Amino acid sequence: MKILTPLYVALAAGVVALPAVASGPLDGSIYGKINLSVVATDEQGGSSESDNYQLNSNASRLGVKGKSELKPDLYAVYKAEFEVCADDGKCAGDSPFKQRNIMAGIKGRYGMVWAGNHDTPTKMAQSKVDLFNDLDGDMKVLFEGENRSKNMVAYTSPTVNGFAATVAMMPGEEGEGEEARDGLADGVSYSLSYTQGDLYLAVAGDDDVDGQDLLRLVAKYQLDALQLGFIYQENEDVDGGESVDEEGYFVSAAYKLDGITLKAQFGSVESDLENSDKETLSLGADYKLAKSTKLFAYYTANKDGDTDSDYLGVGMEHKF
Amino acid sequence: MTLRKSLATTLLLAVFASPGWVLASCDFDADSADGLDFADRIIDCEETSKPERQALPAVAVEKLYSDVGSAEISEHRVVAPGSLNHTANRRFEAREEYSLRADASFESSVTLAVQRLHLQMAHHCSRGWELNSQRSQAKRDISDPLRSGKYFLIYQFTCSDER
Repeated sequence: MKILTPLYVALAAGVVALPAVASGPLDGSIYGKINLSVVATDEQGGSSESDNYQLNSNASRLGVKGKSELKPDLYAVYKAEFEVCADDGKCAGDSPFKQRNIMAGIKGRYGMVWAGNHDTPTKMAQSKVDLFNDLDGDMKVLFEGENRSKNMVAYTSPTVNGFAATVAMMPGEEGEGEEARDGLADGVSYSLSYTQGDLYLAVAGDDDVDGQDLLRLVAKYQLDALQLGFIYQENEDVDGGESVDEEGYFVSAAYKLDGITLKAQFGSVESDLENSDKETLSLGADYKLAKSTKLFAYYTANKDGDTDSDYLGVGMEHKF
Repeated sequence: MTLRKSLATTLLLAVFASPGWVLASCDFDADSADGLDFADRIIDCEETSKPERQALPAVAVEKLYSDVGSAEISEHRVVAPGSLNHTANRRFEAREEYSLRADASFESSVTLAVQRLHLQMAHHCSRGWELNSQRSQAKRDISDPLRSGKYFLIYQFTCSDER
């Protein structure tokens, strides 16, 4: 608190002093969302058991994004996003904020070079196939590879006839030593995607990211009011840690009926380690009050080895 | 692993062998920031903000005209078309009168006013110049101050830094 207090004072002083030094309008815009749910939770098995009600802030966030045109067809692009914990104000320790995706890059006709602390291309490639993202049925309970990596240096190609590619390198930044991860590309993540009309396909992978080598295939198709999604993934442990070799799939379907969207998804992962298979099943519905606001309800059943977890929740989301 | 390599090779070839560019449409919300095409969304959905034009350094502006009384003016005309001058980064302000009245002659048109201003700029900055600002100011006419229809077109310009 002794450190934070001067920081808050300095920030407040900066905000107050801003009109005196700003030479023009703020370059960029603020965006975000608040997503809150009340969830009846029942977790049984394994080392922890609980049966209670929770108010959850489901990756609510506040961000600033923007671009500046440096020359024709050449832009500086930035994004700085922070999670805000609207439930208990404790995102990271006692701080109500936690860093999410933060990046800056230069984008021209031949693509964008960018860097920052950001979701890997593999994570981004899922393209909303996960219909219960950030809730208890988030596919991260099933799959490895849902990483936000530090020290990421990346290149994203332009979209050419529906095809786009992103490759990211992550230096380990370790000290000296034979086994030290001190190179530029100690971890590599990539994605190649194809979008044509209502069809989206992607192949993505990690090479030594968070101790995993990984391959992910993604398909999504919009058939009028029906959206179908599929993900296949195999990953193998490369650092000898607690992770194990796994293989699994994930399917989802959403159907729009006026302002209501019915949603269902199921995923299963088989593990080489005995008694470590995982499953997730989620059913739910969204009711859209406006373009930026929705109410939702869901039921999720997760199985992770011996642990069974059930969640029944209702909530709202407002984007701005 | 064979599946990985063949898929990656096929898609990479498709990316780089296909001509044509596709632009993303502007439809940004908080979840759009998490997509692979987040940069396209940011660019398409933000108002273009070009780098701030640097404020002009504090340099004295030499007026090429002077106000006399309420309506009369005396202009420093180009004395001789052949007598060109250039002092790097020297700043001037010139003006020419024009009329928007229906009965105005061609000599009073804004077209000729612009041409005369360019003659002045070429005379004082023969190696080139940057037009810093332009504005119009109504000419005060004693007989009918509100409806004279006459204006001054005023250019402020700086000679290029070529020496």
